Amino acid sequence: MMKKENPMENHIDNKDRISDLPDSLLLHILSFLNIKQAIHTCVLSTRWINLWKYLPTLSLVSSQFTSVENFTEFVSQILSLRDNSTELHSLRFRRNIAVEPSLLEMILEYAVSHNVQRLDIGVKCDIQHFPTCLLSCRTLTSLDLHVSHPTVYGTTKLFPSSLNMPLLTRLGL
Amino acid sequence: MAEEVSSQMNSLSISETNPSSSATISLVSGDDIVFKVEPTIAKEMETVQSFIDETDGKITTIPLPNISSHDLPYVIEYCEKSIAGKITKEFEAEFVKKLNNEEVKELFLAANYLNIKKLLDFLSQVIADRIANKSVEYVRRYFGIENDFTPEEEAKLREELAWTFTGVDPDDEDEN
Repeated sequence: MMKKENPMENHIDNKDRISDLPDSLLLHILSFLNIKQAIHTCVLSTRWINLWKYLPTLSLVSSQFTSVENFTEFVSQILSLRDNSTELHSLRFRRNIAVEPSLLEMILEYAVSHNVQRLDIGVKCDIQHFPTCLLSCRTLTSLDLHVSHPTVYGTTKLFPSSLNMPLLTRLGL
Repeated sequence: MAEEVSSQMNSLSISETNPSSSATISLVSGDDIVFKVEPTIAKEMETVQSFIDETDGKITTIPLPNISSHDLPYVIEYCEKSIAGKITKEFEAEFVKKLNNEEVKELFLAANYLNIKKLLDFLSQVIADRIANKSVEYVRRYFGIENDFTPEEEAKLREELAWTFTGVDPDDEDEN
């Protein structure tokens, strides 16, 4: 039997080698998609149905949502459907339009309770102070915290009163 | 092609202190083509390097049955650039321009098999870019995924996803 194939011909049998990969690799690809598209991969096949729920990184960067209610609903759904025992290593939350304080608090508390290491927050929010659990988060290694208060004259920036983060190596305020 | 690669590498300096590092490494593709590379290249490929380390550098011919002679030169090229510190946005843009969808997938699998983190990250981004804003059907075709849902199951799943569309612009049109 001659076994001298043109490597290009191998490509014709387009068998599903991607789905045979371990979860960690598929999640690696998903982590480069925006969250909405990552979620939509659950329709691909049974292999993919729950994958996105194990994503260790979340990027909630949205200018696509026209109303605060929709966005709040979206984020709440993601956090409640996400696998609760999977750590959230990295969370990015950016939003141009003002977010409700309760939403920001919920996201921060979720992140801290899921051992967040890298946190990047950039929002306008009428929050009075940061949740205490954030200020003493022991897993954080990188923190970018940009929270602006909407005021009559524009915005003022909210700074944390104190930080107790033993592992922190990067801070952006 | 293989000889070309090895001659390009001659200019790289080699550490004299470790005797095993002076030997050229032969990478053998799945279709039995030998690519001679300098040990510094092999270092970029964790799988290859740990194989060399395990045998104390005695074995310098490494079979890579999962990687074809079509894909291996791309991997070597990327590793060369990486060692030279020349992975730029421009290089990556040119590199990816040469690759069709199948090649991107094959290289992703190769990068995983060889454990080259930078290449794996880069190709993950490329794959994500290529399936971004595409329909479920397109992504299935792209990956070669067989839909094992019944039509009823799939319809139900899509219905359950309604919340992901609230207040969001509809997806872009399929460009394929």
